[in-house]
Amino acid sequence: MIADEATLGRLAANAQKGDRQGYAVLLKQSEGWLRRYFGRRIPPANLDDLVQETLLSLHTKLGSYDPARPFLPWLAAIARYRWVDHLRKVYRAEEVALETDIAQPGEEDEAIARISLERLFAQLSPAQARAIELVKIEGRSIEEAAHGCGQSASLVKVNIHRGLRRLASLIEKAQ
Amino acid sequence: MGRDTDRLIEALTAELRPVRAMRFGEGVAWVLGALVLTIALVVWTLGLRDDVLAGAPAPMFLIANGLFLLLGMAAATSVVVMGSPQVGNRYDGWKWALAMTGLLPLAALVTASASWADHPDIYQHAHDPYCIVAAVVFGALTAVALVLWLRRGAPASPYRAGLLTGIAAGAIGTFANGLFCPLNGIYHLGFAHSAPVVICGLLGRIVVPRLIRW
Repeated sequence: MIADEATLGRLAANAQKGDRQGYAVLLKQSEGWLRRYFGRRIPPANLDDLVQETLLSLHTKLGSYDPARPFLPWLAAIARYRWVDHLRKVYRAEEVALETDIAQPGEEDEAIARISLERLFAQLSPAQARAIELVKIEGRSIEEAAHGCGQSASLVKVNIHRGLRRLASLIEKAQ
Repeated sequence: MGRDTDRLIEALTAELRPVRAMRFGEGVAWVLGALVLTIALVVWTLGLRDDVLAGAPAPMFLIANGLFLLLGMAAATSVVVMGSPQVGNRYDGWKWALAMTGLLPLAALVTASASWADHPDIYQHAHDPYCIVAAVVFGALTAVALVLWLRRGAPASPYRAGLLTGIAAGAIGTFANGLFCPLNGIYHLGFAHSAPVVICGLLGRIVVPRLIRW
């Protein structure tokens, strides 16, 4: 069962006061939320690492949550920051098949959709989004991506570089 | 999948300690504290302008210093907001304050361009380097306060936070130094009093992100 926004905010506020029992619930709920949040925007093989990195950030930056404000947009900002950071790391995963049974943003309400990764990704030009999807999410080489999307290899690199820079500048933006 | 994360959650729960929540009001109090200390430092080391002491400040002083104070506070409160990340955060007010303050160098440039033929020495002013250095130095307190705030928080845009930290420090440093600087000319205010904002902004953009990355 997923706790609602108000409950999560209350758990976070209590955790700031040292409530460990509530904190364990908050972390568990956040873990589930993050797995759905990253959804198709990360290869399954990397999902655990990214969720754990984000939970660690939640822990170290717990004080930056203002209890007067909603919890999920705060968690989403931290998740986006970690996600963009993750995309920046050069890697090529062996397993790139994306799971298809992950909940889609369309299943969530509008408030959640506004803070989704899809909204952030939609801010990129189609060429930038395609280049990042192929190389940073699906783990293809630059050459394979160039062949797959009809761009030159150097253009793919430029689009990845500019796209990641744009994503980093839009982390707190909700459209 | 999940067992490592369960262990991580157990470990994080075990090491939970109470933390003070970062609230907007507390951040603004930090900025105001730095502002008051900076003003006190200027008064203590340099003293105040004669017209301010006499209770009849010059209009140009009020306009220019008012703009720098507004810019400093607008940029500083934006930095305070950035300490607590939130999808949907808005902190665009500093852009308007910067545009308004930009009228000073613009007015100086237009006026100087029109007078250039008659007064080729228009940009040369012995007091300029002093004001630039003094404002940058006086901005340090604000910069330290904002960097400490950002290190405690989780700024999602470190480069923008660094730029705004620099702009806030430069503007508040210029405001404080302006309480002493006796000059009211548009060239001096437009160039020498605006330069610290640009210098500190660049310094903040380069240096601060390394200090606040998380």
